[in-house]
Amino acid sequence: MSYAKHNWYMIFGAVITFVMVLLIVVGYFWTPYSPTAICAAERFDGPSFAHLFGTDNLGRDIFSRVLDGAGTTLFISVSTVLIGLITGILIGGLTGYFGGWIDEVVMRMNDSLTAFPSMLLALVIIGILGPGTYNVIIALGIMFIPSFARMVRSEFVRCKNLDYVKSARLMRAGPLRIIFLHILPNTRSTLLSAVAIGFNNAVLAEAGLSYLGIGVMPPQASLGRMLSESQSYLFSAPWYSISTGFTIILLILGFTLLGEGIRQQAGVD
Amino acid sequence: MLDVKDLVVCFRSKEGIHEVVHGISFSMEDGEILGLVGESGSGKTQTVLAIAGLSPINAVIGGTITLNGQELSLLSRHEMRTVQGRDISMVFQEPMTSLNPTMRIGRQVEEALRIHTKLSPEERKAKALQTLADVELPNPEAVYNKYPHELSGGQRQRVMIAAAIICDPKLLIADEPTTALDVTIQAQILKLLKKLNKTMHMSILFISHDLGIIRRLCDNVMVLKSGDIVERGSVDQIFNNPTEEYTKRLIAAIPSRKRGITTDEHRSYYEYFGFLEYDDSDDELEGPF
Ligand SMILES: Nc1ncnc2c1ncn2[C@@H]1O[C@H](COP(=O)(O)OP(=O)(O)OP(=O)(O)O)[C@@H](O)[C@H]1O
Ligand SMILES: [Mg+2]
Repeated sequence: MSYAKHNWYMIFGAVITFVMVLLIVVGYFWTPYSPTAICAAERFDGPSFAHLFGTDNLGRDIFSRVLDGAGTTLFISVSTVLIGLITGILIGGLTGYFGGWIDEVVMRMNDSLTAFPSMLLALVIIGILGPGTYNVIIALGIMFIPSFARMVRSEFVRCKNLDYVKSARLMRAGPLRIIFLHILPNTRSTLLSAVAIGFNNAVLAEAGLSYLGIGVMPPQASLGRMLSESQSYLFSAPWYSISTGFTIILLILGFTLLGEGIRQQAGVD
Repeated sequence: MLDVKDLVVCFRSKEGIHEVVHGISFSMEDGEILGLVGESGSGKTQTVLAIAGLSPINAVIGGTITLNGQELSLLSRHEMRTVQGRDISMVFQEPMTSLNPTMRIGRQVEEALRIHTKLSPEERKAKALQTLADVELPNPEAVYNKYPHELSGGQRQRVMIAAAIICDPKLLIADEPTTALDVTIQAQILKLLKKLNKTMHMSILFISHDLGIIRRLCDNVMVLKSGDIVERGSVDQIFNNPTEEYTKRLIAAIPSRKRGITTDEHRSYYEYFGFLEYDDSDDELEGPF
């Protein structure tokens, strides 16, 4: 308390994430080349000033594609985490606060969902819905709900017996008021670090699904999709996989450091 | 004012039902300060939680609780809100957990007004500042915008009391409100409670392990032993002529200086603790502040 120690995890995590998100936002409005423009004359060009990350098998500018693909990946991750988080808060908050048999039933359902390996669950859902960006979001969102719900629930169980919640109950504040106004803000540090880890898992899961060819469909770029394409040219055009892989690593690193930083910050105060 | 009849508190568990309060009856007058003593686990907290309607989810409550002629278990949800939620309030033991760490002090003190009144935000703020001043917090404007972690334990307990009294409750329940505080702060809080009791005509049900405190603060005492009331009477009666062996043991358990059986010992206890000047002529709490 008396002296401030720099939270380097937080600082590096925030800087990396900020730069990545900034690039992605820029890439949404402007890329050096069109990410889908094919140019047969420029196939497999190595990195140069004209093409920072070189070109791919169809002569497309890899830098532009990385920006665009990272945007797709980020969009999927954000949507996925939001689905998991909001549904998780509703389920976990209500069951944690009220307890009783509803809690039992919902949490057993939650358990059975968790019992599937999560990737398998996503595969099954995609198998039913078919591939594509939005179906990936739905599949991954559902896959994320149980862990968020469980975490929110345990935070609510912890908080609901604290004296300030008892005072609110004594004043006869309504249950929704107590859940959202009195308890939810107190779960924020746990939630924030879970969100950071969630992004992390979402980026990986999207990459995984697209890599398997059942995620984002061509010609749309996504990091996983590009990584899977690039492996055919691992030796002839190493810059393709290196730049794509490195982008994934940076995204994940940023989120991981941020999550760890938030966790430490919460431990401090 | 408060009338409790045959109050039973049971807990349901896998092993069966286990009764921790065995049909106790007592009543409180307007403006009375009633002390509730008893060893750990004797059911003090469960008794007051039942009165406040805050019993744990696995508890089963029996008996009747009447507040100002209204039986609480017969009330509709809506009436419950005004009667139990507005007329009974509670101060908890632990100042660290009794305030919400993510809410500003002003917001927390006003919460009861938001729920029970239709005051405008400006009126609420004025009332909150007034109440913060009533509990003798210096600089209420500054405190209003702070978070709990920016306050000391004693200040938090004052905030807690402010939040509890802002709607002019008829009954304030205080479950060991000073146990976590050091002795000087303890004395200040007790003095404050006594003052509020006088100025607001609010009855106080005060739980404590410390019979010395009970003796100075309360009008009457009730002794609870494993879920039964074994003795009830005025402070003088209980302290000077305890009839029950259990009460005698409780009194004997106070370190001799604190026992307060004779005037001399009594005086030396307060001098020893330095928090209350003992004054035979006046039964008011007087501190050196
Ligand atoms: N949620 C619960 N479930 C089951 N039993 C409980 C529960 N809460 C309290 N009890 C039991 O009720 C009894 C009375 O507890 P209570 O908290 O009222 O004691 P107390 O007099 O307030 O003690 P202390 O002075 O330590 O605060 C205890 O024996 C305790 O084990
Ligand atoms: Mg207790």
